[in-house]
Amino acid sequence: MPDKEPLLKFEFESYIASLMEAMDMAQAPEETQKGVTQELGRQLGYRIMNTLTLHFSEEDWKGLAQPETATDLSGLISEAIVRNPAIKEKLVEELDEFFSETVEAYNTLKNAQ
Amino acid sequence: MAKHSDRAKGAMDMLAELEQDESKDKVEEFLLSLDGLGFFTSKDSELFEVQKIIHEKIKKLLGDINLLADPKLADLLENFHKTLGGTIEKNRKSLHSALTPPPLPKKTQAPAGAPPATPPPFKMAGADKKEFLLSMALGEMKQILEPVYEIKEKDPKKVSAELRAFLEQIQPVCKNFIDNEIVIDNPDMSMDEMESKAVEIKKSYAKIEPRIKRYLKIEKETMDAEMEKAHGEGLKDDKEWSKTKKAAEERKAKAEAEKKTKAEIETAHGEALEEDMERAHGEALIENNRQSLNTDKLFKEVLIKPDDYKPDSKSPEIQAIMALTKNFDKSKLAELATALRTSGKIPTASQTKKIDEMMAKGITTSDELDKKIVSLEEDIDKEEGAIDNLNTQIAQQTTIIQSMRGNVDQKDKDNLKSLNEKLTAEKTKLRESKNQLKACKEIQPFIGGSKMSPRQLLLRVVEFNEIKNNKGKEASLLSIGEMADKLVAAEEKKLAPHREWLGSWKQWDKYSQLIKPSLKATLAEFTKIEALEGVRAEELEELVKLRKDPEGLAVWIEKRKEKAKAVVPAIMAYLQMAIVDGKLNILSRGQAMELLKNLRSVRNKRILSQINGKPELLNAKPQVRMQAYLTEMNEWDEKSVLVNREIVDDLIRKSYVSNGLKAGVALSIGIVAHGPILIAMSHIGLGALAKIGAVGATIKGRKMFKDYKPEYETAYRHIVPRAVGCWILGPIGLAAPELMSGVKFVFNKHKEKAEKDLKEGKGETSLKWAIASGLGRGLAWPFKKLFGKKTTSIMKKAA
Repeated sequence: MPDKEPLLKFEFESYIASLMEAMDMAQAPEETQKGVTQELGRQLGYRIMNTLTLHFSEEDWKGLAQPETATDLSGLISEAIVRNPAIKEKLVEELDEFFSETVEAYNTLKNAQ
Repeated sequence: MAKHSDRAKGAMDMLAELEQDESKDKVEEFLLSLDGLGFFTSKDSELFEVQKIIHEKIKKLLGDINLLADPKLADLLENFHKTLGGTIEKNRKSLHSALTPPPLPKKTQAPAGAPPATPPPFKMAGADKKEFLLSMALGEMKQILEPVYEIKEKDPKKVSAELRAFLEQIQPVCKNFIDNEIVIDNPDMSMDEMESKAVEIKKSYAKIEPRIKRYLKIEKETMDAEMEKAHGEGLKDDKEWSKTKKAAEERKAKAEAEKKTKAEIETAHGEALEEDMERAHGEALIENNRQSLNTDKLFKEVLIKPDDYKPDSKSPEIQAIMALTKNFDKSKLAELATALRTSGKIPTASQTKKIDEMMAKGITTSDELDKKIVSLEEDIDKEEGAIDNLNTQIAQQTTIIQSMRGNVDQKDKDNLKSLNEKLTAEKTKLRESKNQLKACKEIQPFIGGSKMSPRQLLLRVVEFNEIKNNKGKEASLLSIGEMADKLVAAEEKKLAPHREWLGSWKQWDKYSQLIKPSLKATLAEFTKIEALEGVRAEELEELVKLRKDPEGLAVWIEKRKEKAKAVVPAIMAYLQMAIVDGKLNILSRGQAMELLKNLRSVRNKRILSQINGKPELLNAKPQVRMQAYLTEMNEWDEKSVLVNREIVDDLIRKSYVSNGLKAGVALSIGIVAHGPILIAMSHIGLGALAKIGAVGATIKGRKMFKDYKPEYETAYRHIVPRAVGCWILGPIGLAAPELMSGVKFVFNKHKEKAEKDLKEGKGETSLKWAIASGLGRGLAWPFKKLFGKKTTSIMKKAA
């Protein structure tokens, strides 16, 4: 499980790094590492937007732009928390869950061989 | 590969690179590089092995891709295939003739008494002899390996784990053997090379022979042991067998005698029991008749004629049930439930489960169930026919294989294997169909007509009460009487009351069954989903039923995705609308999240099994498999529009616009009616009262919107600007007819602007604009009083 501190601060790079470590990604070719990072980012984006969709009202959404980079995403999260402070806990919960789900899937794939 | 030339090594390296990326461009680049190395036209024997590997690869790639754009390259490859294909075929024939022993000399009649003729010694030239000996070595090796392969091909599942592991282990040796077989028969190979290969083969042979023999022995012993076990101990030993057989016959005779006696006892016991039960039952019936007239009435009036029921709260049947349920105490209901189950009038718990499963599949009426039964019976007939047909084919194929005695053609083996696989699949299908048919027939008496029968209704009442008792959550659930009241209320007033009491899912479950006829209307009212791109309320009804069954839900989505593309986004819109501002109670935020989690868990399981089943990823690193998993997962999310806010928003906006316009029209009519009243009241000195009335009307209007749906509330935000504009402009226009032209102009301008803004969702701008213009015109009124007709021109300028 990742350290809660970067999660609370929404430091996505640290989060992804812990996730990559949990999946022994250092063993994989560079191309695979890049691909996995990209897919993780994509899924992370879905998860975050999903959480916001579930908890945001129409008003909360106004003026929020689709994030393009990790910095944008962090900015979006900060803004989202300002608008709706309760969202922080929900996001941490979601990221935590995504972490365990991903590592579990990795172990299943690894052990199936 | 140590002896391959640099060219061979280079080609293999390029091939390894190509394995990583088999795109059209890479394939072409690969082929051009090989051409550059003169690979395709080389007759170098050292390259032959590599050429063969690459030949196979190219054949596969061309089959898969078929995209070669360069005609020159295509011609080159065609020649390569022809040349190499021809060589391989030639080699195969050559090997075949080498392995076929030379014909024996014709027998001549020997004179009487002459000694038996000895065949002349087998003479062969040096090179031929070596080749022949090598071929013989290969033949011997083949003899050793063949049974191993035969076992493996026959039925890999039946091969012991130990032998299977061994087979995996010797794969490289076998491959080496096969490769060498081709190499040895290569006419381009020198004698020295051939001899060195012969040594390699001998080594491989010596290495694997004892192990193969040992494992075959183990396998044979295992099979023998299994046979012995299957046929009873002492099968091999005749004496012991006779002894065992005799003992078995004695045991059998004894068991049959015991069985007979037991059956006699049971019959006697059964008769006695039956008498007891009949007596007890009679007594119980008398007791029931005496104690519970209501129960009897229910049996007679409700259970005997259930199918002509109409879902009308005023029908005598339902009124009777209502009356009974109001008066029933819990112990009476439990007693009734037991009596009904014992008599087979209502389903048992397992039957109820089957009914629910069937209903979840959309089979809710007896007609639909009958159709399902007919279709299952037809399926069973077809499947049985297919099994008979396959059994005949298998018997024929087995006879052919047996008649070939060892020289079995691979094609025949494959055919038999495929037939056996088909037979297994058909048998599985048949078993499933039979199980389904059994379940359908079992629940047939309990599935009513197209509407819920009183019997079903009663069942639900009883079931509800039982759940209530068992779970001990009485405080959170309604009493039977309350439930009856709510049922009537739901029938009479189809909208508002529902929202007050549809809080608990447990209640919703039960009530959704009770108010099934009005469920469609209820759902339509609740969600306004019908406004969303043709999604039907029936589909939502199904969705409600499936919300606790994620697997079923996933199948449901999958099935409808192609039929009605709007359904998937609508589900998400449904979730979305259900939680907007927490105003709708169809799904709470927590429930929506739970549903999403369930969907994800189903998704993850499916993708994992998909990845595990992909042959190209079988030997890939776990990290590479993980990448494939994540990609699939993201594709799934994208297709399912789980987070596509744009689509959801668009759908909701359409609903807002439609409902908003309706609300706007209603409000405008109200305002038009209010205007003259206000003016008239001001004229007779009741201005203050008029003002109070106007404020009251505003508050009422606001409340009216709040009592509706969140989308109405949003519409309210869009409509208010127009309302404010009308409210202020209306009285001005009426009080000062000379300003009407200016007012009309402003009003029309405002109307156009407001409608445009409304469509674009810019309610806020519209509000500011309308308030400003409205206030401006309102403020102008006193000036009219002061300056008279001049105001008209001022107003015109202002407009």
